[in-house]
Amino acid sequence: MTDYFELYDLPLSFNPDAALVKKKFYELSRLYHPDRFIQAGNAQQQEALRMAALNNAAYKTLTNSDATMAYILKQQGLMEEEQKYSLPASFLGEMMDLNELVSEYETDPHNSALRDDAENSIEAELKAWQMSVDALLKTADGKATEKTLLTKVKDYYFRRKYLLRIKERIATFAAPE
Amino acid sequence: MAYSDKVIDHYQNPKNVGTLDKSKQNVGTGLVGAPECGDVMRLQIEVDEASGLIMDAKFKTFGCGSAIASSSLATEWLKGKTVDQALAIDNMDIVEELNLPPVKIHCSVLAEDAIKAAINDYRVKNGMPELVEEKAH
Repeated sequence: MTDYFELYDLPLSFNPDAALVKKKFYELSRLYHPDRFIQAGNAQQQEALRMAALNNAAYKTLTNSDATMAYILKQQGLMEEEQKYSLPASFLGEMMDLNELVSEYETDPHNSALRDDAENSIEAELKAWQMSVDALLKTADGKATEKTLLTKVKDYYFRRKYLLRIKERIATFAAPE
Repeated sequence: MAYSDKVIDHYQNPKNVGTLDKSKQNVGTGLVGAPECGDVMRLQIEVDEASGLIMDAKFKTFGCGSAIASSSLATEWLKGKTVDQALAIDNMDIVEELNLPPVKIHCSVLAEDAIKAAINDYRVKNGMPELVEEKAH
């Protein structure tokens, strides 16, 4: 399958240039527009359709930093399904504590102090996550295929899953103001 | 997706939810996570030193119904077993007992990993070498 970065003629990057991505998306959308293939043979029409779908998928991925991260990790062979990945026990312990805090709030949803505590804790974690990842990715570009670096990115990618999961939990039962 | 009655029963009335004193010499604690979905599971065993039997087991799981049911069932099975017998618990036994659908098999794997992690913690605390996982899931 054609690589999204190759398709858009862009260097492999966790932060692809948004303006260039958009420009390329419009360019390819025009190029593979079905209207241009009305007179063409069946094979050519199918090929245009395939390229248009690929273009849509590429745009959707490269305009979302989370999806871009997952895509690069997958392309570089770090997301094999059978490959188990475990985060350090200290991190899992923290996630356990955060979840317990959320449970406490869950049993007492009108307690605003508990709510603030839970929400602020998770927001602080997410902010810290973003800062570490930004710092890491700044060093990453240009060498986005280096194994040790990719492994670190993968670690962050999975940590975020836990954080988002907790945030979702809060959102499902949070009492309206 | 429909859960089996057994999953629903364990989910609604989980057995052995709680915490054991992890600082105790005869308590082993396993803490594992499923990065794909953000589930966290803590499973603890308390071993009776005289008989070598697991006299108590507790868990706390933040995750889906199947993950909670798998760990709840695991703690039930652990009680009264020797540590070696506990090691033999296979995730497929859990799948069979709870009738887990294929997409939820990873929840049973998580429970098996938690058992192994708790046993390893107990072993290391008591001067035994850590066991290396021999089978890849």
